[in-house]
Amino acid sequence: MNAMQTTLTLMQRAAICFAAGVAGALAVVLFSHLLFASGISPALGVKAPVSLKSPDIYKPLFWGGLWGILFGLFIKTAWDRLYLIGFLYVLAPLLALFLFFLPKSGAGFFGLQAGGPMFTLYLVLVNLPFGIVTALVARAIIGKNP
Amino acid sequence: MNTMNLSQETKINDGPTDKRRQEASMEDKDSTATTLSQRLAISFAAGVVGAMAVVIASYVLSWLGLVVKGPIPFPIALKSPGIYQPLFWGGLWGLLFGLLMKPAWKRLYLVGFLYVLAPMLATFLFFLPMGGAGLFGLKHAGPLFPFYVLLVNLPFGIVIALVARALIGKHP
Repeated sequence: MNAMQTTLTLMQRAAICFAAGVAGALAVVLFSHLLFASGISPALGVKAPVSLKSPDIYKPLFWGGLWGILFGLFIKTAWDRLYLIGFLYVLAPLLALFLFFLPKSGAGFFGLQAGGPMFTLYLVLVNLPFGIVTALVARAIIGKNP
Repeated sequence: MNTMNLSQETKINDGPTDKRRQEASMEDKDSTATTLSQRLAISFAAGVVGAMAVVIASYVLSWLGLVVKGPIPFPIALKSPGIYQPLFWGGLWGLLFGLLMKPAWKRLYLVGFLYVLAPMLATFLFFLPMGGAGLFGLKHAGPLFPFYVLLVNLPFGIVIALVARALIGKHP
């Protein structure tokens, strides 16, 4: 029975979480449109939601998958508090964005040079569904035992 | 007491049978170790790897001097965000492969190798004509072009099959 409880290997969990991460990123893309339609994004100084046009749309989805792989590496350890850790997992790509990708693109730390603190707030808000959706999808695919 | 003894005898007799049943049950569970959704997710990831193999193949052929000009530029540009498109579509084609992986398990590598025909047919008969390049892209290219596209894409299916097999293990 114990063998049955650990049917998935680390590689399988990582591959499954790659797909789950893509779903998490898709949730972020959709959420950006929801925020824009509701007038929240414009209020925070954001002029457009995430582009749905090809090839722009594929980039966030693919990166969501890559962040999903990292999530898959520790999903088994985090299984008992999956949704809490999943929700907090958004901090990983956000920190990379704030401390690496945005400064590299010239927007400064936390994107403060691009749109001030409101832009930083928007980035936190728009990315909020990522971790929890990744966790929910991973849980739905993996089942009861990781 | 007789009843007790009978009961105990029954238990003793059932012991090994139960064990055999449990073992058989475990083997059954092992042989269906992954669910459909797990196979789909794994095949999605395998499809991305298959698409990476195609990107690499386009560069290898280019380095070898084998380039045929046409409506699809080769080698595939590594620039962002263009590079993510073929990788993501590789994943989507991987999903379809995941649907038929279990029935095809015994001939996975053969089916995998031939599976490249699915995206190729979609490209030649749907995407290229829709983009204005005509069937097989022949409006904007010579007759060698479809063969070249097929050659570049050749690793796709077999790489998906190899990666999926490595991830899933012995039983789908």
